[in-house]
Amino acid sequence: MDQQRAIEEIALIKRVIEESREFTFNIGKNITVWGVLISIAIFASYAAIVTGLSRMDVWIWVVMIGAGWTYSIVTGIRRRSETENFGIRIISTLWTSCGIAMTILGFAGTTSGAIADWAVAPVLSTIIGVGFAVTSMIQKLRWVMSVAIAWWLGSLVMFLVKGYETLPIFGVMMILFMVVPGIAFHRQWKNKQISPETK
Amino acid sequence: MTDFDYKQFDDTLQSRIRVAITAALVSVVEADFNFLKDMVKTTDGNLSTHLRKLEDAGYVSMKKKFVNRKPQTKYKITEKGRRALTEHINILEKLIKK
Repeated sequence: MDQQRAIEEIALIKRVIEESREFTFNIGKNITVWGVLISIAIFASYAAIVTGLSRMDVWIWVVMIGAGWTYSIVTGIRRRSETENFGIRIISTLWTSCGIAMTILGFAGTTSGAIADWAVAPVLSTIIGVGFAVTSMIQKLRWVMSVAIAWWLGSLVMFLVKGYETLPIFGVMMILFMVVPGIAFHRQWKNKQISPETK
Repeated sequence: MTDFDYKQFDDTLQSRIRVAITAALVSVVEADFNFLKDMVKTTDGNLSTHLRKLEDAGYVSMKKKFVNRKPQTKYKITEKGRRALTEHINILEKLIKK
């Protein structure tokens, strides 16, 4: 082996390690599905409150959150058959932890009376912001940090607004900062899959 | 040129494909066959042959399991493989700096 070949081999090792580290799974689908399901629950809850049908229809949330977890568990089991790097492991654990924390706060927090019904929206927004901030760092996507900041600012606004008016704000945020980024994640992931640079 | 001992190179890592396989496995927890094929950019047969050689050398471990009733083979780098790759990189760097 000569020096030129050694340089080429070091470059090859570097490229393969970098590509292997950057390998990621499509979190876009999960984020979009959760965003759509929660948006439906939010607007249905708000409609129920406005029309005087109920204060907060817990069943809408049970069905939507149940559907979200079913989807995440099924896709998670399917993904077990794929390659896993440390970035994927961290992102999976991060969003699963955020989901568990939000489910506990949303159901146990409100039914116990520890958290006011309206306050669930700003509390959950702060947690979602954490999810996006860490994802931004791991996946090296700067625009995702803006999404995290938007969630935290939205949370502050909702704490100031107080009351059930926070629900439509939370619903719009869910579409703008969860469904839309989810679609963007999906597109970015798809483009990466067909990019000649990665092939 | 003359003072460099070429015998320092690990026989198993003389092949670029085997070097690329170990490099791909070093930053993942475990990987499936298609991932490695994509990273190494080689044919199924060629990849299988090199994976077997790495397994024989104790650099890579293989685990077969069923996921959703489908057979799945996962590959993992061993501690011995990790050390061998590090040593290989050190030797390459020495050769470049020489």
